[in-house]
Amino acid sequence: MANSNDSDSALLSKCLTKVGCEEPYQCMLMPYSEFLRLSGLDEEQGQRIWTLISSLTYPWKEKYKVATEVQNTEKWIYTGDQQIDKCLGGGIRLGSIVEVVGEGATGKTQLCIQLAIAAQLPESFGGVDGDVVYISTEGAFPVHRLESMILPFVRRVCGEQYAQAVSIDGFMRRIQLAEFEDMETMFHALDYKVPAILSTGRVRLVVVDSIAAHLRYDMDSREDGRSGSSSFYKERTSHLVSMGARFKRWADEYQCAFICVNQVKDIIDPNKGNHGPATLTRSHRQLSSHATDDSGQGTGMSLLDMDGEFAVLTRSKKAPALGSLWANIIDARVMMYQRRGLALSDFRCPAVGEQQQSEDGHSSFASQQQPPSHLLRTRRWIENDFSPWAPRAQCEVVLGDSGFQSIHLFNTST
Amino acid sequence: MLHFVLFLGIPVLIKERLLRNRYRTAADLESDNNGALLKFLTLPETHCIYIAVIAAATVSVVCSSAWSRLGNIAEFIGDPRSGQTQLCLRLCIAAQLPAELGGIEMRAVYVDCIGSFSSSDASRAAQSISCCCQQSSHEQLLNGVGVFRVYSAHELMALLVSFENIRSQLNNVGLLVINTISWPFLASFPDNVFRRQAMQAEAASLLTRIASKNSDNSAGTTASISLIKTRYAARALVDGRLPWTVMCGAAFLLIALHSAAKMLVPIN
Repeated sequence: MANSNDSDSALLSKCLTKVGCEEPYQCMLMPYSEFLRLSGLDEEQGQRIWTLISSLTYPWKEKYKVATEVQNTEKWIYTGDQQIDKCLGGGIRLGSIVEVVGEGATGKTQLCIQLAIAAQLPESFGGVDGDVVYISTEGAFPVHRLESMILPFVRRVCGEQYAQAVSIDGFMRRIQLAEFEDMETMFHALDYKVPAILSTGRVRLVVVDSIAAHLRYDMDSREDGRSGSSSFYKERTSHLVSMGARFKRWADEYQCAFICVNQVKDIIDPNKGNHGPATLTRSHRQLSSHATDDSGQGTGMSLLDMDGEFAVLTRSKKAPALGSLWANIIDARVMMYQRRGLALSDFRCPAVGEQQQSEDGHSSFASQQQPPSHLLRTRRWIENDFSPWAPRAQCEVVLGDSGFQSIHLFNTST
Repeated sequence: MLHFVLFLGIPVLIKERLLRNRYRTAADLESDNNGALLKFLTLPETHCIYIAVIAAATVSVVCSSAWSRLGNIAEFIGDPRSGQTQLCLRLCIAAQLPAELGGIEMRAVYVDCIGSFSSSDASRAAQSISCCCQQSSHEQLLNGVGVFRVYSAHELMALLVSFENIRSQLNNVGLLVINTISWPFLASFPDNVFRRQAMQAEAASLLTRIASKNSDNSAGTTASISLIKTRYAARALVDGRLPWTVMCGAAFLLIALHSAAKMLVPIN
């Protein structure tokens, strides 16, 4: 038995040299027929060596687990607000890749900063007591915002007594920040620096803010003018797949969560043109003008119910960037919406004394009504668009000193 | 085509009551009148069953292939959020059920290529199915699912090459699920489409060999399932019963079932 193993090993070494592979696993990346042809082995020897290579490449007995043994830590990074956690299905699960997507200024970075603080909290307060790697690709990282959020957030989640013992500097030191101006530098860090940091075993959250920046703008501005061509998309696909493969392996091996901030793109309807964000406001006006009071008379304005608000948001002509390939790589998507408060002039409110024609032709005076307050203030929503561990849900939130807090949660799963 | 009560999209409590009263398939429900059902169900509950049976019938109308024997390969394709992973988890659990409940009384092997396997999801699936099945507890059902995690094409290929050895040592493996088969090759060959397709064809060939080698072996047959997520397809091939029909190779037969996959997701 020992002799046959030795002879197989010797034969394997010869095969690797003939086939041109340095490691046995590389032979698994070619069809078996090609391996036989290049190695010059007969069928029987080829089968024996092929089986040996497969066992070396993937020692299945060591990798096998039954479902009950699977090392799912099932740990979660909580956002610090129970309703938001419920909306997201429990928070951000370790070992997963979560995308946070939304238009500009919807609070994506704010949410990432909040999670970066939450991840460092002890497990007794819903954290995972881990370090954070924050990769910033869109300009300077808002250090002052991070500093100002730490104490209020810790106070809100852990209580005043714990917050008094907390050191802002301690929290800041546990966040490894890297800012990359271009794609090459970022990939170099992903090849060398990030794995080295992750291998310490202390990191529980990696934030990439944003994943799309260099893959859209950096490549768009190429001097060779290849942007928009098929080779551009091919290269971008290659980068996306490479990053996705790395993130998946690291998330699983080091049991950390990856949050990738993504941008949105406009959806151009060739028949109707690009409505852009104005669609949101126009839909509000249309809903307002069609509303009626109890007597059936048109008032020109109305209280929009929650369903009406949600419907408006989903009609917005935006979609996450990077396409469906990236959508297949991530495990979950969190969408963030914002609706800025409308001005008083946006409402078709008849002035006092202005006459209005009623249905029977008689004129009447319309009374001036105050527009509802929820239309005047800026409103934000966090939505769990998809995830394997929770149904679709949306939560209205407000952004304060201590980060996001929920106002209202409603389930929109179908 | 049979639609088992177990796989209808109705609440677990209703399923339990139906099974206790010996309603095992949709055909049993159709042959009975509402008066008999109302002895142990409320009127809204019977409406719920009616809707679920209609949904299941829609699925079978769209599925044009016959699901008949072990030793076959099937493919699920769908957009994100259409429920392929959930479906695969439930199939791994359901494979262990007795034949009268739609299973094959054999174990399942789940090859996880994307980190999709979640013990909590599997546990929920096992709990929802075990409460309708008197024979097995949910721990037993979970223990009947073996999991392999692979990160790249060479690991997946090595696993498939070793599968005969795995099957002989694990005993009574009847279902192989690969979720997803496209990702490892895409990750290993992001630039080289020709090499990727060649390796996918090699993988399909291995799967065919695994399935056909075992289809005549009554002692231990294997039904194979491969799942592929592609960005082109918004379709899924699905049935509420094991085993599935044949399709393999680089050219996959696609059947439009995107919405039907959603119908089958709320099995709880």
